[in-house]
Amino acid sequence: MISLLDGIGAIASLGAVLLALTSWRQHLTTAEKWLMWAIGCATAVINSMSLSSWLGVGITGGDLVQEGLGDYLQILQPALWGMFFYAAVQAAQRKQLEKSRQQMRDLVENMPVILHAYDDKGRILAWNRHAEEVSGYSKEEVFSNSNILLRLFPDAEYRQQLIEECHNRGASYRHRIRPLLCKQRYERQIAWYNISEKFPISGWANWGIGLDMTDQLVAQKELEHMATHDELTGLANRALLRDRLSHSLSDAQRNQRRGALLLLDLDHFKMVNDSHGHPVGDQLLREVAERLRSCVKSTDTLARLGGDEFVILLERIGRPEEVALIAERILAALVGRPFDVFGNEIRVRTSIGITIFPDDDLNLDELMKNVDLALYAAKQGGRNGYHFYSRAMHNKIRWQHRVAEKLRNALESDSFTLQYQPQICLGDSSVAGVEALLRWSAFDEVPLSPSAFIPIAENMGLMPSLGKWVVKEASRQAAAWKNLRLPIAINLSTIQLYQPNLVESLHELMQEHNIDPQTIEFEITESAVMRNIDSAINTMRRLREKGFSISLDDFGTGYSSLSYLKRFPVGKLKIDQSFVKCIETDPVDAAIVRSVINLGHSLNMKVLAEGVETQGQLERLGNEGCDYIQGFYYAPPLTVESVEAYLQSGHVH
Amino acid sequence: MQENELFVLFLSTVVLLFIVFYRKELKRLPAAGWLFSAYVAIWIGWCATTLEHLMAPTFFNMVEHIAYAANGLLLLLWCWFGIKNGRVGAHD
Repeated sequence: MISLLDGIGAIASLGAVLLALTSWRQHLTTAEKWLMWAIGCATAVINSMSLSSWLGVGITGGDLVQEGLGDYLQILQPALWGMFFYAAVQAAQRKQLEKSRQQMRDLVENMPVILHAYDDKGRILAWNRHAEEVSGYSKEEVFSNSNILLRLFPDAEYRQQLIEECHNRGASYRHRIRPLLCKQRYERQIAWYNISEKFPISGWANWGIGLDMTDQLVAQKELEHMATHDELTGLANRALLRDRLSHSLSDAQRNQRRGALLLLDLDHFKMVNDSHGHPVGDQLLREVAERLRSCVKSTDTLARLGGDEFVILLERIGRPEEVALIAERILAALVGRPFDVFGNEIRVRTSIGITIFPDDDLNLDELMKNVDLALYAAKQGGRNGYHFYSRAMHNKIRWQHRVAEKLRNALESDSFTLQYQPQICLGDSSVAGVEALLRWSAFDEVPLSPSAFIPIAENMGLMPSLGKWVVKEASRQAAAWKNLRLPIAINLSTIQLYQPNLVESLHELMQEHNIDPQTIEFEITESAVMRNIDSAINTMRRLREKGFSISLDDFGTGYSSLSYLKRFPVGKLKIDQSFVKCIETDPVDAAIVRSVINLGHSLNMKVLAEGVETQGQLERLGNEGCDYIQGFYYAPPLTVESVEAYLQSGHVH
Repeated sequence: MQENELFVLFLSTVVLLFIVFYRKELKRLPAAGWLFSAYVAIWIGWCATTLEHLMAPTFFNMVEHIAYAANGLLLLLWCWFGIKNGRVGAHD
């Protein structure tokens, strides 16, 4: 039995050796194979010896085999096994290490960053696939070219730094963004993270990674540009303007120099949008921006605040006259020739507000407010011009804003009153009528002159309701004075004159108060009539048909044509007080007054002179044949009670 | 009891411990289970060789020779399955 077992063992061992010899080359290392053969052979020999021992047949004869070789082989056998397993473990570990290294190499090679390493002379030792893709230079080109740094890094300072870091190895860490010049001769911006120290990889003196930041930097620049520039025109926006203005203000204050801020907008730009559409409006703004660019230096800041508002910041100016020249240049550029926008010829007008700093104010917000006020003043001055900010203008506009605020509530709060100024017949010194004059006590007991608040009310669009109130109040008073049959002259504003239902509403009002229209005279200014002569004449005729009287106010100031005058259905001409004022001293004024009186009489009109304040004026007007007088010489504007007292005091009506 | 048999047992046990300790690495050998079995078989044989001097000599002698035979057969099977199912690449 034992012989059989030994025989099986010996044959199997030999078979194993044979198999290992023929087929295991690819699976085992050379050492493992030799050891495997040794183990197999030793096992086979021992089994064979054991078998021969049992069979009583000596292979090599005697005790040498049984006690010598057998003992050695027995000891050798576990030693061989041990050596085999040790070799296998070593091989496994070596393979594992090699595999890990290969994985690391693959990882490094395929990392989406530029991996680069230099020796202590600045020669490149590592250059991965991403580096090849970004730079266009292959590993072979980079490794073989001793001047490759010169080609790769156009920044000489960076090159020098890099070489010094390679020479002076230490644990220094550097992070910087520097350009990489690609083989195709364009630059890419790379964030280089480099460390200079002894690295486990032989020969590496400086190594690191590089991140291609070109796209991010471009995107970042685009974002910054978008955040600081106007999308439509590409000009600076409000944020960038404020930033530059802030710096400019500080700089001007520190260095004792002056700058200027110009704010301009296109007059009636909304009409362009309304009539041609927004695409045309947008294109017009682009072309305006282009023309503005040509008017300023590249160092000046040109910004668009939104809509049709543009700002120009001139950081260094000598004298304010220089700014005026620039403003005129801008006006000439924008107004001088029309814009051709998508085949539409568009002419623009512009108003410019100017403030000088730090002369006027140092605060940025104040400066913006001031230039806004200057623009407002430019617009008030008739548009299509420029206006410098001044303290007096500031005060005036602030006062106007205060008046405007009060005006909004004045009608509701019943703070308007009417005063009545007598109109005296020069023939018999009797009171021929009174003119209803609007008075408003806005801030204190002293009433404001209509000339102070009427333009503001006109700008605010309050004139229709204010005019309506005046007519209504005067009519109410006329009804109260019905028994006196005292004619009342009421001023009609320009807006009222052109209201389509004016005549009907006035007629209804008279009927409502049961007033004879003949006791009401409407004063219409010459300039109001001249705005639309045909319509005005039509309205005046209809008023006359209803029985109202009409006088032409401020005659001589409205550039009316004499050819039109004969068509005006008016019964009275009112000579403006500006002519009356100097009638005694200025022969020209005297001649004008004389001519007007003669003209009025020739056209069968009565003539009234306003603003008579002196005996001399009265006498001159009397000598010229003037019919009526109105002015402080006889009476100032009076309250209702004062008028009644005035009449009772003996003045003949 | 012979001294060399004790030495063989000691040495083979050390190798066995080595196998246990590095079994993870050794499993990378093709058909490693057969190889470990072959070694365990021969280790049992060496144990039996030692034990036969202490007790039941006939039995342990039989065990010894069975173990040697098993060792030879298991080595053959290791080679065979190693060729058949060998994990190409594990050791190349």
